Amino acid sequence: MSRRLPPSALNALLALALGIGGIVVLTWSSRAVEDMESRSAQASRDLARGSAQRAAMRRLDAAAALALPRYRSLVAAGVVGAPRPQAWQGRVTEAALRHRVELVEARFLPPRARPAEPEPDKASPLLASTLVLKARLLHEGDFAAFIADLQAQPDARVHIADCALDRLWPAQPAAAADAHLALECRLDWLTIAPLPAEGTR
Amino acid sequence: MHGRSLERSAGFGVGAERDFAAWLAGQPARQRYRLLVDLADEGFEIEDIPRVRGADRRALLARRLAHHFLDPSLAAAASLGKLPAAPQLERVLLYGLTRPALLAPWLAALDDAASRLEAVVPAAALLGVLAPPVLRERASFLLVSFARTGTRLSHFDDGRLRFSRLAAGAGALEGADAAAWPAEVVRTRSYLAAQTGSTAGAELPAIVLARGTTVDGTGVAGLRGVDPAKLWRLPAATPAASADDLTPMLLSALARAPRHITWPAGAFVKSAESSRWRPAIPAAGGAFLAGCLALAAMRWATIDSLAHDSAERERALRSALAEIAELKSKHDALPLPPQTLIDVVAALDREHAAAIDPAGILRAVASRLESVPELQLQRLSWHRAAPDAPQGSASITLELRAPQEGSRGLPATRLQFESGPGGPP
Repeated sequence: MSRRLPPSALNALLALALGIGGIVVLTWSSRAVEDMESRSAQASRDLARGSAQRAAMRRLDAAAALALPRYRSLVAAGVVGAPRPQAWQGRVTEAALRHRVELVEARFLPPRARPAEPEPDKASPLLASTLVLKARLLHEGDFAAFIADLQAQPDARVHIADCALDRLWPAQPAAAADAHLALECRLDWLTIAPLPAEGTR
Repeated sequence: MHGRSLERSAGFGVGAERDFAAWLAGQPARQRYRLLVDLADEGFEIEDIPRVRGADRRALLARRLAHHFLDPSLAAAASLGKLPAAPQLERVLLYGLTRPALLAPWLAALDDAASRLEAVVPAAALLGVLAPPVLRERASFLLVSFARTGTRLSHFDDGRLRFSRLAAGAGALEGADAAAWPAEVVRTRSYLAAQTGSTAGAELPAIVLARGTTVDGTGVAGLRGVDPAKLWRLPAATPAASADDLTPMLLSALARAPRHITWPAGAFVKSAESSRWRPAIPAAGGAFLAGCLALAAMRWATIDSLAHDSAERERALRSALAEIAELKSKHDALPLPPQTLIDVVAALDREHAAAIDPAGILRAVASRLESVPELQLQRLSWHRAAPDAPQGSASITLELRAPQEGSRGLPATRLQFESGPGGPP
């Protein structure tokens, strides 16, 4: 036999159902807000990361745009590539003849990587081929012209590492009849190590 | 009452209050009861009272009920509307038991058994609620109904109960008392005519709720029979004494009797307060749900705002990522990775900045020596200064001697200093 629920029980059930409905709505809305806040926070973080990455890329692009023409000119001049000590040797001899410099010794040491000064631990693309140079010459002016001639080489950047000029006194037996100065220098011939060629990336 | 069917649980005659109490003791503790009062000892009074509201009205009605009835808790008032001639007055019907002692032992038994008595409902008022199809006849008429207790004659005017009386023992249409009810109609008409002071009451039309029995041949004018089965769906398995007995109908209607027709019944009705608050329970639930929905709506506004912000950020992120991809594609076309390219050029720049200009050193040293003609330069050497020195600076060593001393290998002076990028100091 079916029994009808008393009105109070029906009322209580209805109130309970409404209350549960309210709690469900509240819970759902709380979770929805939390989800949306989480999504919004994630979107903020992603945007901040993306914006920072874009700013870095823009800076990189601007710097690369400035560096690119200079790099291309270095490539064109031959500074980028393997050191060519034999060719340079011949040019040193020719320059010495042009500037009346009597070469006593001119030899290139094997090339070595040049540490990057601000960051010594960082791999440097520069190679230094050191020219050990001993010579005699008549005048300081010849020395300056001789060095300037060497520094004008297109396929290397030539910098003096250290240098010493000694005056030769006439009494010195080793001195040549017309030489007044003895020169002893080490010059670094800087080139850029061979890098991946264009089109290989 | 089970669904729409009535079941007879027990029956008790006059004076069987003890049996009733014993039967109550055997009922479930949470059983609920409603009492239908269908007694002859009822009083109906019509009064015109000032139109007041709230507590004043309740106090006024309580005073008038106490004036007319011994136990005002077994009485009630019903508004019959304001008076057209005197709008400041309201006509009310006061009805209640004139002999409450008849009901007292039964109520006491219920009270002793701690039973939950929900309502005490007078049959006349319940009939008024139960009979709306008949009450559509707005004019004044007499409604004749039959029950186990007898024939009830109720006067309705303008759709509202004005008077009712029970003619005990005149309800069995098929029995020996079947002829008694037409006389009761005549008697009631006469009473109403005397009350109103007009002859219209004597000719009051009467609607007789009876089926199967013709009202013709009673010798009473103005009778019209209406089959109650055409008005209401009678409950199943009705323990009716006769075909026209409305008792089952009244009993089944008892469960949905509106509160305003019930008698307060003093302390006996235990669920009166709770029943008053009963509708408040789902209302409270509804209010809670509405509050939750309002809160959810506010949160929805937050969600909407956050979603809008997120969408904006995601759009901005997509734009940034597209630009990054474009720049990467542009960088892929470079001969070297962009950072390597920059590093290469920067390294060469640093070397250039750190380079020592020999011509500058020679010029500067020569100009200084001119100021000391008594000394001659014997040896000039330089090399790069310490790494922490300014770029382009050199560590220079000079060896000077006096020419008159002449002999080789005797340096007179040795100077050592650091030069800035512009040459010796």
